[in-house]
Amino acid sequence: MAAPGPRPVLVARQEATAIDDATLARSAMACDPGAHPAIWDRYNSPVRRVLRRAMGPGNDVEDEVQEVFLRFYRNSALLRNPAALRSFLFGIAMRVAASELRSRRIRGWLRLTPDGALVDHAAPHADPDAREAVKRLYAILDRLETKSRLAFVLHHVEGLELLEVASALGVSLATVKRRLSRVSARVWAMAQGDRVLIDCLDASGPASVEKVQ
Amino acid sequence: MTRWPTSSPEDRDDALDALGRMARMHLTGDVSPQEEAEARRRLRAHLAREPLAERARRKAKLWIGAAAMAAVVAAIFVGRPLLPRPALTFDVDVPVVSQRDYLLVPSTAPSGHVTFSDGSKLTLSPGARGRIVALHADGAAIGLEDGRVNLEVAHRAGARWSVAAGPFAIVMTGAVFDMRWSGADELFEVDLRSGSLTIRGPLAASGIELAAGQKLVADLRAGQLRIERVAPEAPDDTSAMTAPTMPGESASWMQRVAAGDFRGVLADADQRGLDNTLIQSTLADLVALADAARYAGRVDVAHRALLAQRDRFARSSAARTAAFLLGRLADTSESQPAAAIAWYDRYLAETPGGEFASEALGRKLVAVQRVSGAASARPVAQEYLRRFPQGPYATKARELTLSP
Repeated sequence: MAAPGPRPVLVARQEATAIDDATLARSAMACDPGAHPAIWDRYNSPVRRVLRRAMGPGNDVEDEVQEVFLRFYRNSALLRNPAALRSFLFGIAMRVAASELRSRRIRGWLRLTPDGALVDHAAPHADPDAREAVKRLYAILDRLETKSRLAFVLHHVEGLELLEVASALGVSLATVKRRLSRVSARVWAMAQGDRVLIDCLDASGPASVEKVQ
Repeated sequence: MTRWPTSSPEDRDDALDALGRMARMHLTGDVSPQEEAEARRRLRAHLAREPLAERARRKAKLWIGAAAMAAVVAAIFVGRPLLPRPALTFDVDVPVVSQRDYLLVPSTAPSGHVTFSDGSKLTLSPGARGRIVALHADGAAIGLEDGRVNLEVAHRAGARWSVAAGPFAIVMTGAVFDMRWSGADELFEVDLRSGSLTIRGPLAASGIELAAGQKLVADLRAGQLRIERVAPEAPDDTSAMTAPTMPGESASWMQRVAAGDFRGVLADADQRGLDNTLIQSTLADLVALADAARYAGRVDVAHRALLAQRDRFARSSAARTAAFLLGRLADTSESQPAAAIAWYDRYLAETPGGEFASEALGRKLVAVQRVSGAASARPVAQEYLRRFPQGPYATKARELTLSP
């Protein structure tokens, strides 16, 4: 095992908004002590967001956020394309989420750690109906295998393009297309049987009514 | 059936994107500045400890080695008390078709039985299928894919059993119950004969404790969950039985609503006389009664209990919330959008910055559009966007303000 390089220390915040991702990543790879706090500042919120969306409502993801940045610190030297810093971080986040989802499934079988019993990080003023619909959507996603769930979340919830999904999941574009096609059909089949989801969909999509008309 | 067109994969993806957008609005990466600072501090602390990790791992290996050595010595001299106890085993009775841990009873066959080494017994009705997910020393985890089963869990100290069916999960230490899960109908039923258990799932996120003699029915499609009282089996000599409630020791209505006993609370109110209940009950009981009635679909009782809160406790926050809930009742259960608008207005006037202000205004927007058309709803939409530009009805409000 290679000896760890100089330890980056999260010191005072730098004015890093003008620095592009590639420069930030190269600084991190060179163990510049200012790089890691700048990356944290720029990406802690997006990483937390994608983890929450991967894990679903009612899950505290702070431990996973920590894990993502710790892994990044340990493995930043492996980043081959510095411009792809965001994808690299999202890729780590997806591996962390996948691992936690698998553990949670096992814990769920053995000890029951239900989603709903945990803290709900609902957006302020969230519509209770929408909140319930989101819970139901994730109850459907809970029935999927982890890889399919993550592909679905990245594409339909996070809104990533197929290439970005492929990059974050570390698979080919063809695999993502195949996986999404299968999982989308399955999720839609289950969602159609859920009145709350469908009502919420109809209520949130007046454009759809116009389409029908 | 949804009004979304879903004839092609593209249409289906549009609908899924819309669901995804809803989740995206709901699940953000926002935390308070304090939480962000705390997370940053934690990471800094982790990084500061990082070089010690390797040393800590070596130290841990030493401790693990020492512990393993101690276990071997104890096993030799004390008679193996530290070795793990063996996991349960099970035997399958014909006509259960068993593929390793997968169980299936053909629909044309009689019921099948699975007997566990601790004496517990699982009976699968014809057509039922499931899986023994895990076996350990204190019990097992069972997954029911579809159908009806009966489980008799032998009560032992420290026993841990669980059954998962669809999105629901049941955990118990000792109990006898029937359960049914239909994935096609999204219907879940548990009929508890003896013992006690906890159920968690979509309509019971914080967990519902079921006592002997209670039956839970959850209809996911209808979004309804109800608990019925059925005659419990006569107590036997197992200690799995829940201690019966002693005379005079009754849970509060709030506690019973929290436990899902909506019908029990309503039955109590009926027994006391609904008129008397509404006149004499405490505010807490009125709130519990209104909740029980709403959850059990007794719209008339819910309506009266909410009105009683407003009449008798007019200055309470519950009375103000009751205005919003009356609006929702009128909106969704009584199909009276005009009355709903009046209640939403009253709530917004009494509690302009209240917990449900965004929803009250958003729902009013929808109701006004329904009753009076888009032109009348436009000023409401503008007010909504001014007050809640990021709110859940903002998209709809924007569309209304932009429409000709």
